[in-house]
Amino acid sequence: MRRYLVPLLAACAAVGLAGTLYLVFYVTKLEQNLFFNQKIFYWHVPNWFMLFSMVFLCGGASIGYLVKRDPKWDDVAFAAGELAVLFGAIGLVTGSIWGKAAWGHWWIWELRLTTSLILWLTMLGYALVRRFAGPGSEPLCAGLAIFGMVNVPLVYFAVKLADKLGQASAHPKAKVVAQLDASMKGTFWLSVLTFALVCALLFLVRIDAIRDARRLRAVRERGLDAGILEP
Amino acid sequence: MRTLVSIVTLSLSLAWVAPVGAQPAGGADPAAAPAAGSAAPAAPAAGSADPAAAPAAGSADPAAAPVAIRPEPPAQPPAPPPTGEAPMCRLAGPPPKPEAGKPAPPSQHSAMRQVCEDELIKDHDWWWNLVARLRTSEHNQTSREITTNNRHVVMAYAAIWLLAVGFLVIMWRRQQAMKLEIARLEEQLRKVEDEDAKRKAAKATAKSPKDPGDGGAA
Repeated sequence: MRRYLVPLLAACAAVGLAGTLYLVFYVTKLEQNLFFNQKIFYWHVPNWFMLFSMVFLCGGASIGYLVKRDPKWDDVAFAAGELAVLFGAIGLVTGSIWGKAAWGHWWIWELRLTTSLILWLTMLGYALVRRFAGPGSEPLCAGLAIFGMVNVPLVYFAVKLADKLGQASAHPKAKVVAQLDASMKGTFWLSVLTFALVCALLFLVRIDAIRDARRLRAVRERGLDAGILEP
Repeated sequence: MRTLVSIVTLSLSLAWVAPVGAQPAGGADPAAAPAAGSAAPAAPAAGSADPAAAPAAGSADPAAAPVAIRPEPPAQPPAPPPTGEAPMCRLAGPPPKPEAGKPAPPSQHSAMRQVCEDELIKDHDWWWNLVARLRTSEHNQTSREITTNNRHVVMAYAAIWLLAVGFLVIMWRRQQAMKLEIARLEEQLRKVEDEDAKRKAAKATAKSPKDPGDGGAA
């Protein structure tokens, strides 16, 4: 099953990416304020959706690991955490490009951008500690992942929060997706689906890689026992 | 300073623009007629208010017109370049006088505006540049650039692929290295285990001398 799932997901994702690209450039209407620059939205927002889902998955699996101490939960959390770092980096870069196009600045210290950066740095810290701190660091990483998960609602509601605090927010207060034109909505949800496929594909590949890493550790321990490796 | 003056002048001028389509070719728009003694940059309207009338001057090349003619800075701004194209709108003159019995509209005249007008009169090219920007073709070109400028969208899409491919390459290389090491270690372990098995077999045969064919080794 797994053998066919990865190529199938890859094929569907490729079709989705090509379709989204065509729709974004040639079919969807121009937005009346940002014109062509608004089209970054079709990649930027789905990308943040994936980031949020990966952070939630990482946090949820970390809770599972802390409760059951089963390494399978830790594998899931690690794979999701790494993908959160990837999607966060993409989100920050595409957002920065969009900011330059829309606001004239690559970065502004607005509440949503700042909380997004903190979330990404948290997940980056998680991935670095998980990778380089060695065995025994799993509970610490699980704590970091839960901290990142708690940060997600703060990022999502940052615009409303900024409004309540009386701070200016460069992001729109209204629900943007709900107000989209029908053709824009279709393209947007296709893009979300495509990003979800890509995310699932990468997740499966990463899970395999993490299991390989676990297998390598086991083989190394056997090698140490057999005396072919030095401690 | 120049940028600030330019912005202020443009915004003030555009506040008083009058659509050309509603005007006769002769430029009878009262708003375009400068008041006596006014140094308003809208002065070209005094003589040939509508540049649509200007092509009679001879040069009909719209591209060359603003650059080719460079007279001495005049006391009054020159007429707009004879491009043969009617401007979409034009720099207006002074504000209309308030009608009797009605409150006067807020005046756009200010010290800053005066500075702008003085600078415009000194800088011939700047004046023409401003006028050229009020033309339909300029407007169309700018709107085309705005609505088709896909530079940032392409940049964002390229960034996605760059980061995703970079991530995949790093992960793939790491996984390949891991698989190679697993294969190497498993091969070594298999050899060690085979040797162990042979040693154990040899010991076992040494302990049982009745076993035929292995007596010499013992």
